Amino acid sequence: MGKRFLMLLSILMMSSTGFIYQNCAPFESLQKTESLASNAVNDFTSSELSCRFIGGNALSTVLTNTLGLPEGDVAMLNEQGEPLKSNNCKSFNHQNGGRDCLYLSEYSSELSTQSCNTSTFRLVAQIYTNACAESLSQEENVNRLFPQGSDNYTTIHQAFTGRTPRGDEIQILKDLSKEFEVEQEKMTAVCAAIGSSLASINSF
Amino acid sequence: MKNKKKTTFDQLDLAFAQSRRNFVTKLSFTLAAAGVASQTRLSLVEELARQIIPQAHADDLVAPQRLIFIGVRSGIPIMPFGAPDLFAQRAEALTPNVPFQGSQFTKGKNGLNFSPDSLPLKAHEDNLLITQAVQTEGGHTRMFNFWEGGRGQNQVSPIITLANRNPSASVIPGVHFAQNSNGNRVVDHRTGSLPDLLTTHNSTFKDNFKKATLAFDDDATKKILEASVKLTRRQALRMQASIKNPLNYSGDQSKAAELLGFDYVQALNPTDINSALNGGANGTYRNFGEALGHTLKAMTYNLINSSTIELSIGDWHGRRDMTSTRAHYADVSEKLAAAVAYLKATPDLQGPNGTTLWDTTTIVIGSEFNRNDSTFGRDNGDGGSQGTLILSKKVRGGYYGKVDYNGNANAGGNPRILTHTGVDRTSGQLLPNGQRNSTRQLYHTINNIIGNSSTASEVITTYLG
Repeated sequence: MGKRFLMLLSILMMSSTGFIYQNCAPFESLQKTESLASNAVNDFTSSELSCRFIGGNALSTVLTNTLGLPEGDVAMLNEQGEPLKSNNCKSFNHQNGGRDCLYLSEYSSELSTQSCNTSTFRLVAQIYTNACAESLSQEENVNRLFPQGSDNYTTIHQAFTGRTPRGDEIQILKDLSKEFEVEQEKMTAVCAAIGSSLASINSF
Repeated sequence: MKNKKKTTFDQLDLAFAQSRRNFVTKLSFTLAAAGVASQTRLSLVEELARQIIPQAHADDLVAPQRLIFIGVRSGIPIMPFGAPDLFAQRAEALTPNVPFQGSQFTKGKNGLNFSPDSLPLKAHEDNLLITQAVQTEGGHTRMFNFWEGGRGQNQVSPIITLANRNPSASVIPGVHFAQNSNGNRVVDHRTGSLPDLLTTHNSTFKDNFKKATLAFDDDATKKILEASVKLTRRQALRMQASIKNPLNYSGDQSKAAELLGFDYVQALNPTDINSALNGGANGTYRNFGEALGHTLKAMTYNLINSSTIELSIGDWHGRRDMTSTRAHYADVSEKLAAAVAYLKATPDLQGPNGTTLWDTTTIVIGSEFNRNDSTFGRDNGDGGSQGTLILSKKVRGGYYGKVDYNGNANAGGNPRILTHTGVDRTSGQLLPNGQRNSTRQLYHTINNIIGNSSTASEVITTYLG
C-alpha cells in the first residue's frame, strides 16, 4: 500500500475524529508519563486513597436533587433518539403504562461495583448527556441551573461540584458553548460536560 | 526551583511509547468504525504507527503482558490434558478420568503424554506446562488457594494485579466471564483494595463496546466529551498529591469518551476466528469457547488486557461416565489449541514490531482442588493435590512432578489412589519423601511469568523457559 495513501488516510482520520493526537503534545504526554512511571505494583500498597466510584444510589440522588429528574433515573434512547422500550430491559414494564428502559435500573449491577474504570466512566457520560437534555428541556430547571443565562457557569458548576469553576475550567466551557448556536443546546452541552467529568472527579 | 521535576530522556521515551499505544488503539477504533476488515485493519494500523510516530518506533516498546485465567470449579483433574508417563505405560484403560490404554497415548516432550482427546494440544507442547503436584490446603471453595498466595493468605490474585497495572493500556483492564447469565460468579478473586474485574457474560460482553444513542449527534457528543476529558484532567492534576494515580483515571475517562464514538459489536464477533471456538457440545463448553473467542477478539484490539473465564461443569466424581469425561477434555483441548493458534497468528500492536499476542499472553487453568483418579464405577475422593496448566511462551513445556500408584484396585473396590511428588523449584529434581510444591510457590511463579512483582525465593524457576 502506497505511503501517500497511508498518509492521506491518516490525515482524513485525524480531521474526521479530531482526537488522535489530542494526548500527544509533549506537555500532556509528560504529565501522563508521571502516572505511567508510578504504575509499579508497589504503588498499590501506598497509603493514598483509592478511586471509588460514587455508585448508583449517589448518582440517582444527583439526578434528582441537582438535575430535577424526579425518578432519579434517565431513559435510554433507541437509534431514532426516542425512549427505548424493550422487553430485554430489566426496567421496562409495558404493563404499567409503558415505562421506558432506564439507565440506572438497567446497569445497577455495574454501577454497584464502585469500580473506577473506562466502562463506568463511559456509562456515566451517557447518563449525564441524556439526563442534562431531559432536565434542561424543563424551564424550571433552566432557571435553577442557569439563573444568569447560558454563558454563566457558576451555578451549575457549584451544583455539581460544590465549588465555583476556576478560570481554566470556565475557558473550557466557553469554548464548548461556542460550538452550539441554540441556547438550550449550549446549556445542555455545558451540563453534560461537567456531569460527565464527575465520573472521576467525584469518585475519589 | 527546588521541587520542579526534571524531564529525562527516559520520560520522553515513555511519553512517546504511550502516545504510540494510544494512537494504535484509537486508530484501530476508527478503522473498525469505517468497516475495514480485521486483518487489513491490523496491517494498516501498524504501518501508520511506524510512519506517523517514528520517534516512538515500536522496537523501543516493551512487550505488554496479558493473562487469560480459566477458573474451573468442581475439582476436575488437569492430567487428562497431558498425562504423566505412568498413564502411557499401563496395559488397560483403568480410570474414567483418563479412559485410555497406554498405547493410545502420543508421547510428547518432557514427560508429557497426549490422549486422543488432548492431542490438539501437542502442537503447542513446547510451551504447555502441566503439574498436579501442588499441595492443596482444603478444597470446595470459590477462592482457589494458589490464587491468593496460599489458603487464607489474602494476597491479591495475579490477574487483579495485572489488570490494575494494565501494561497494554487497554480500554477496560480486565473482564470476568461469569458462568451464570445472572452475573453471579462461581470463582472469586482476592482484590485487596484494588478494583475488581468487570463482570460480564457472553450475552452482554459486546454491550461494553456498543455505541449508545445519545441526546446529541456524534459530532456534538464528541465536543462535549472532549471538554469533559479536559475538565477531568485538570481536576486530576490538582489531586495528584493525595489520590493514587488520578491521571490513570483521567486516562480511563479519555478512553471512555473515545469509546462512545465507535461501535465495536461487529468487530468482536468471535465466529470468524476459528470454528472450534464456537462449536463443540452445547451449553457449558460452547459458552466457554465463545467467552474465549470474545476474549481473544477484544485483546486483538486492546479493548481488554486480562480475562477470567469460568468453566463450571458439575461436580467431578469418578462415577462420571466416559462420554461426558471425553467430551470435556476433547472440547476444552480443541478450544485451547485453537486459541493458541490464533494468538500465534495475531500481532499485538501494543508491543515491539513483530510481536504477536502469543508473545504477550499467558493462559492459566486452575481449579480449587483436584479429585484423584479412581477405578471405573468408584468415586474418586478429593485428591489433595492442585493441578495447574500453563500455556505461555515463558514456560518450558512438560509434565512436572511424579505420579505413582499407591495400592491396587481390588475386587473389594478400593480405588486406585495416585500419589504426587513435586519438584525442587530450581533444580527440577523430585522432592524427597513425596513432598509437593506449595500453592504459595505457584502463586509467585505465575506472578513472575506475567510480570507482576514476586518473591524470588518462591518462584519455581525450573518451570520457566
